[in-house]
Amino acid sequence: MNSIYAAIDVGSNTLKLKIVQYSENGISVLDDISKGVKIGEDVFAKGNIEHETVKEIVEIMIRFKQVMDSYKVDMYRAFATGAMRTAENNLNVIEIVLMRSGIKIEIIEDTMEKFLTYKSMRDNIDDYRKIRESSILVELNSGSCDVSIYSGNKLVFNEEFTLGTLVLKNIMQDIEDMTINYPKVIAELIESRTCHMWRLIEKRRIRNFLMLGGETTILKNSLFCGLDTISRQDFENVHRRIFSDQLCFRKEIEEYGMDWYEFVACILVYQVFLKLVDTESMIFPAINLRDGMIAEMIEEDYCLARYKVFNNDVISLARNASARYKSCSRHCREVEKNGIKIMKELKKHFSFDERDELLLRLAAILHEIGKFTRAKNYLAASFHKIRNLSIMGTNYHEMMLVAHMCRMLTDMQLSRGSIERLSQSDRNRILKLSSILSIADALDKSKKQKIKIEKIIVTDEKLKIIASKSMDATLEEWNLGNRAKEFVKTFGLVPELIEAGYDE
Amino acid sequence: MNRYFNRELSWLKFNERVLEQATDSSMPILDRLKFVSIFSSNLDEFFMVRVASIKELMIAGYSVEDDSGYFPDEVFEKISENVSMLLKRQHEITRECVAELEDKGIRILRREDFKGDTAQELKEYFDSSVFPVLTPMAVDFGRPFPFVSNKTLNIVSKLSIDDNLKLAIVEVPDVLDRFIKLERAKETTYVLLEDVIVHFIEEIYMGQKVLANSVFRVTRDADLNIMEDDADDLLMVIEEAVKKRRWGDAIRLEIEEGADSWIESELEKIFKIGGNQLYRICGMLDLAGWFSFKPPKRIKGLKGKAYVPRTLPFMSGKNVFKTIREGDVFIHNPYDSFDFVVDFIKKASMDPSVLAIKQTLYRVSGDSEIINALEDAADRGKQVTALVELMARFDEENNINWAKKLEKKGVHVIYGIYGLKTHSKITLVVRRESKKIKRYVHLGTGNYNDVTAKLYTDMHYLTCREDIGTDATIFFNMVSGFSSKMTTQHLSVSPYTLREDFYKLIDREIKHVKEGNRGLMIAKMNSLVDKGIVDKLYEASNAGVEIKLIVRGICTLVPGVAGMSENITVKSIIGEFLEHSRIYYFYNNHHPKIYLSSADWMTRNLDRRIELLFPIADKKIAERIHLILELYLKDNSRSWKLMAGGEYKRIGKSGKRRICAHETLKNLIYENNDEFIKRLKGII
Repeated sequence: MNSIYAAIDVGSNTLKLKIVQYSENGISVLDDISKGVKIGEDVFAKGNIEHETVKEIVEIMIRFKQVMDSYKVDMYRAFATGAMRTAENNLNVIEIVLMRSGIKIEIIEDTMEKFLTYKSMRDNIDDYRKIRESSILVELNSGSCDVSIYSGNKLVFNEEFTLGTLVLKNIMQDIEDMTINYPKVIAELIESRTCHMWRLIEKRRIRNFLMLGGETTILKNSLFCGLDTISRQDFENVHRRIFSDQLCFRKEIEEYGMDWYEFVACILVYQVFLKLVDTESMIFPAINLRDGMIAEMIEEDYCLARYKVFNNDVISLARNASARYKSCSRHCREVEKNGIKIMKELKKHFSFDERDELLLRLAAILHEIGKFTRAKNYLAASFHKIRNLSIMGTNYHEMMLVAHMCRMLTDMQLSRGSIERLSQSDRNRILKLSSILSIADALDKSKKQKIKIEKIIVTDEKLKIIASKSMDATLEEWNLGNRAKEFVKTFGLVPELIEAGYDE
Repeated sequence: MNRYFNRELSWLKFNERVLEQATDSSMPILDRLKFVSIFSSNLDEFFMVRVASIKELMIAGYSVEDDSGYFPDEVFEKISENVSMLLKRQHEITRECVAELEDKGIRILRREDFKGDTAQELKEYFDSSVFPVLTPMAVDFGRPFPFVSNKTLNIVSKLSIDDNLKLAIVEVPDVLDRFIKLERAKETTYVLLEDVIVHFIEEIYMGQKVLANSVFRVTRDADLNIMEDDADDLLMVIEEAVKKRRWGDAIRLEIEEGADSWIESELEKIFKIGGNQLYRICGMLDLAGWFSFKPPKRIKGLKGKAYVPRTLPFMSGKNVFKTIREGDVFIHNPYDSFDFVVDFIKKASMDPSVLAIKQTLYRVSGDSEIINALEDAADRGKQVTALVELMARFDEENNINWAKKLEKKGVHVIYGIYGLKTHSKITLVVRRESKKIKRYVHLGTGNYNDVTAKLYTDMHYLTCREDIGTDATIFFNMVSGFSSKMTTQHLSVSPYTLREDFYKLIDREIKHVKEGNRGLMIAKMNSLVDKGIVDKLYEASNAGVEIKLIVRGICTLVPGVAGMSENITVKSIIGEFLEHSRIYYFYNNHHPKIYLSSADWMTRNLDRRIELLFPIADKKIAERIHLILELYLKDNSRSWKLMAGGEYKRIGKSGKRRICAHETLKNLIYENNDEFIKRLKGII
């Protein structure tokens, strides 16, 4: 069993390393270090990471490796986000770092980053259940603003807006000459871009307001004395001063080392969402990517149920997306349930991992969303919708696989273009998962949940589905027969529906 | 009355107390002369650093009143007056000591007494040993005044060459013994090297007429002004600055009383010094030279027996890590052996379970076992980080050498945070024990220096408490630049949280008093200078908090003034050992808290240095330290009381039982904290 874990976060401005020890008493932090390095400045100005910066990264990573060695770390992950993700020469940099320090950096997408960051709530916030019960999380970064809603212990909503502090700063500087009250204009702009979801937020009667993102730390430390929770009143006083005491306040803010425009943007965005929530306090939650990475590693090693509720957020978000596109939720759940049962049995003979199960479930939940656009050839429409969906906890590649699985539900052929773009292992994975999905879907073709799987048996040649029927299931039997051919091609097994009691 | 004493004049008073130690006739004569020497070397450093900086202010035209109400030129003048008086006193005492040496059969012969056989023996010695190493240098237009190194003894001569007066100097070589024993004398007799050279000076300037001679000494500005901003390689820059120190501006000129007036005025011109920088010495110059006086061992009773620190049962045999695991360890040197601390680091370097060692190094001794252990640990593949403070005053060169040596061995050497000296004393040992990480921490009030640990009183605390280990990790990350925030929970670190934490602790005592409870603080330190703290103490005193201060050196706080500091007492202990521990005790309404620290209550410690204040969590150890404080407060043997007027009054026995803290702690018999507490309680 492993017990000492290290997580490295290669961010846009800072490289961070956290080392923890996991034991029966829980997690104890052994080391938590960071070093500033301006990767972002290079990338946003020139598109790639300059040689001098690469040298700095390498030096820091060598030091990180030494620190990791000094604790004899059992397992580590190094994830790059933000600037490294965008840098044109990111793969070269990763190679150099690996050669010089021995540390392998993986680039992760922002959906994965967010998922892991939120997951760290489990270990960092004592009353995380309270947060999951009813909260809005507004994460503000330079390029975007990400809003998530937890309700009833589920992550029910996650949406990204082009309302980053840097974006709003540019607009403010553009309009500054046109009006003396540019904060008011910006507030209007933020409102216009977010108003479509106000009702959704108000309806949920959110009880907690959480502020996240790059700007919050300096905001918290300089204006709110480093407090983790501040009163609504205190925040609103700050908001008010932007309008009533601009000159003095700007000087004050700049003395704290903050950019005035980015600060204004930050406060205005939070204020727009705060108006929708009836809470007396606001929270700066102590959550971060490294803790999420550590949670994943511990989970992997110890097969813990500790983070289950956070893993389920992926499914919860998919279900919400599915509901938004008016999919038939009972049918989708039935397909999901049947698919899991089939996979569970096949797992004894074929290799599937936890991620495969997640993808199968996502495909089951989302396969019908194309119907919202058109009835004819709706699976192709689903394909396009799914590949453009970003669901926290999954990456673009995985969503692409899910999209392909759904597209192949009736026609088990990959297009020529897809064959060229996908790797052999991806193609195999899609075939295997879509074959299962296809059988699971066939078993509820009428969308009436007539068939209840009692047992599944895999023999040398057959996949015997022993089930009870609540009404005539000719449609399902016929459809299963049609899809059997592709299943046989993939698994070498003939799927056969046997009525319970007749399986001897 | 002023709210604050002047810090420089307060320092001179401290040095006066050091000098007064030499008047204690109960002390063996060489021990008394040791205090004469300490007085001189202290004074040298004072001129090189403090007086030099005041001079700089004057040159820069800075004319602002300080907190004590003095302008820089006034302080300079006061220093000159005070030092002149103290020097007079020092020479009186030295004469008494020399007379006592004579009583013991040891004579110090001066040059006016070199006659007959003595002169003959010295002539032979001069010709064979001295003359070959002398380099006389004449001064004229072609040859400007030769460079005179800081703190060296020199002989200046007035020569008449072709009816013109010329100056020439020769440096007294430091490769030869200052005290030369006459082999052929019946009694044990010593002469001074500079006297021998003066006596035979005509042999050096052969063919020229020597009209007058005098021994002189120059003290130069030796403060390093390093612009770290421009320093690409701090190590190299400091190395250069140390070399240049020898050539700083002259701050003080010491010359023998009765020296030729032409010589005096020429030297004044050459060294660009004013009348208040010239000190005419009646007797031997550079009395720090007594440090090197080593009379024959056969003459008994010249020196006190060297104290051997005690080795306690827990220190021997057992595994240091197991000992610390069984309970926090406290060491009070020089009474308890410092070897346990050295052993802790040595064992850590050899122990295969130890993964990493991190340590701060401020001043280390010559052949430091600790440095060797760190090198050894690096050799064995452990992660070793040493935070070396390159700017430890007058130890810069030493530390540069260690830094280079450690780096060569693969130790990760770091130089701390820009603009802040790392003065804290902390070691972190990371050990893997049955697949778990355990952190052992040493925290101290004094340096990792096995030599000074026998002379300085310091306290050491070793623990493997998880919270302290976590804080130690955060501390090292911060000072090595791998963390931007000092988020320690139990360790207070300057310049981040220490000042505020002290204020909070004092405020808590004020609060207790306001709530009708008792407020009490006992604080022991080397110096109390910080205005913020002094004001806070006045505030506490006015609120009714009892404040008992034990301040060895400078104290700018004015005690015992009604309406300002009537509840504050200040005492100073100067004795056999140099008081160096910093202890802060807060009564906290029956829930006492005791802290140790590397920091004094000086602005530099609170604002410009990395310092640590650490709580003593172990109840027994805390009680032991509290009792030590009580003992110090009861000391009536080596103690001085600071009066409201600024003078220090020796605390007499006044019929009471004589209590000497140093003697008591030296002689106490104990094997563990319980016994210590029981026995010391019986005494005080």
